[in-house]
Amino acid sequence: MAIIEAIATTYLEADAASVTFSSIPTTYEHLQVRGSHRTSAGTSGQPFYIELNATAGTGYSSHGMIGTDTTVSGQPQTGTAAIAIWDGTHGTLVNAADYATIIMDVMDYRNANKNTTVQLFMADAMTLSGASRVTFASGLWDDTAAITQIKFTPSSGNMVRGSEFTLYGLNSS
Amino acid sequence: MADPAYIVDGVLTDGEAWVALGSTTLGGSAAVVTFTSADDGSSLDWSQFMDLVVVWYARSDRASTNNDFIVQFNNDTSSNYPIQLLSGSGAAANAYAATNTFAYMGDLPAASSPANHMSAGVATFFDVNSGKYKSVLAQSAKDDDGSGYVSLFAATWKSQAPITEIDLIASGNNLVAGTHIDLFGVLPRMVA
Repeated sequence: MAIIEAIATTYLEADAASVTFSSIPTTYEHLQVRGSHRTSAGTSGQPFYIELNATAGTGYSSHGMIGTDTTVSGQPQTGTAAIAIWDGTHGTLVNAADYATIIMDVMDYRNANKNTTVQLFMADAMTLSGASRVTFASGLWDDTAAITQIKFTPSSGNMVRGSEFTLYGLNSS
Repeated sequence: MADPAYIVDGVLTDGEAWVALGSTTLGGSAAVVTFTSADDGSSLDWSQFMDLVVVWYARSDRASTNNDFIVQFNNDTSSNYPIQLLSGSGAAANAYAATNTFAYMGDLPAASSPANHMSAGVATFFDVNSGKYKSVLAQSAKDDDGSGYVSLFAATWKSQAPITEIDLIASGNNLVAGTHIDLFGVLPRMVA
């Protein structure tokens, strides 16, 4: 059996409001999402939302450590309707060939007795002087449900053609 | 070279998403470690992969306690690499942005660092066969007994060409014997 399997890739051939992985198999120990994306909004950096199990409400938090140009900062969010990553993607003020990136780890995702904390590495707006950003972040969903769905949505605009996300499953043996 | 067991007549028969593409352990100093796509339709042809990942453990011979570990793609040495750094060193945090002739992989111990110390890192190169600029996300950890760096690097190579060659370099110096670098290809899974 493979240790790391690609479960599904979504590669947008047309703009879309969001990308969702649903009916995630329960046959793995951990999940990882890898992707590159940008939006149609007239923005540089803009927030990026990650919703779990099609559940909104106020049960999400996040905490980011961020480097942008020569500034180091922290970015906490709590009581949000999704994991909200400040400037986690970018829009049309950034060169059209430049896509933001994400690596997200979801550990022990099928356990129904633990809240879900994810680990994120992200970067955006690398070609826009003064706006480039690299982020190491956590995301929390205050719910013990097993993860069956992951949805990615920009704060405004659509994710554009060429945006891509792949969901991987990690086995323990 | 024979196909690995998970490929029969050029078809993947196993769902393993990470494919080992190359591994180098230096027996002596080297100015550069290069990986090149087989470009022949075999299992080592990078054109089939979504991402490439480099896993490394390395040290430089620079006469100092630190050296930049850098990467260049497809022999492009021009100023085509905007970068963004976030790092911690001692009690300080630091951020830095520039446009370079290379992207960063991480920080290397060097000749004045404690003996046998190496640094560790992982780097992803995203969507390497697309018409996008190519994005890099790299983490590295270097510890010199009381000093060091933990770093997160992002970069974009401003080229829409597929990545077919990776040159890994201790900036201006050599990687030393014992440096170990592995390259993996990460497959997508296109489903209807």
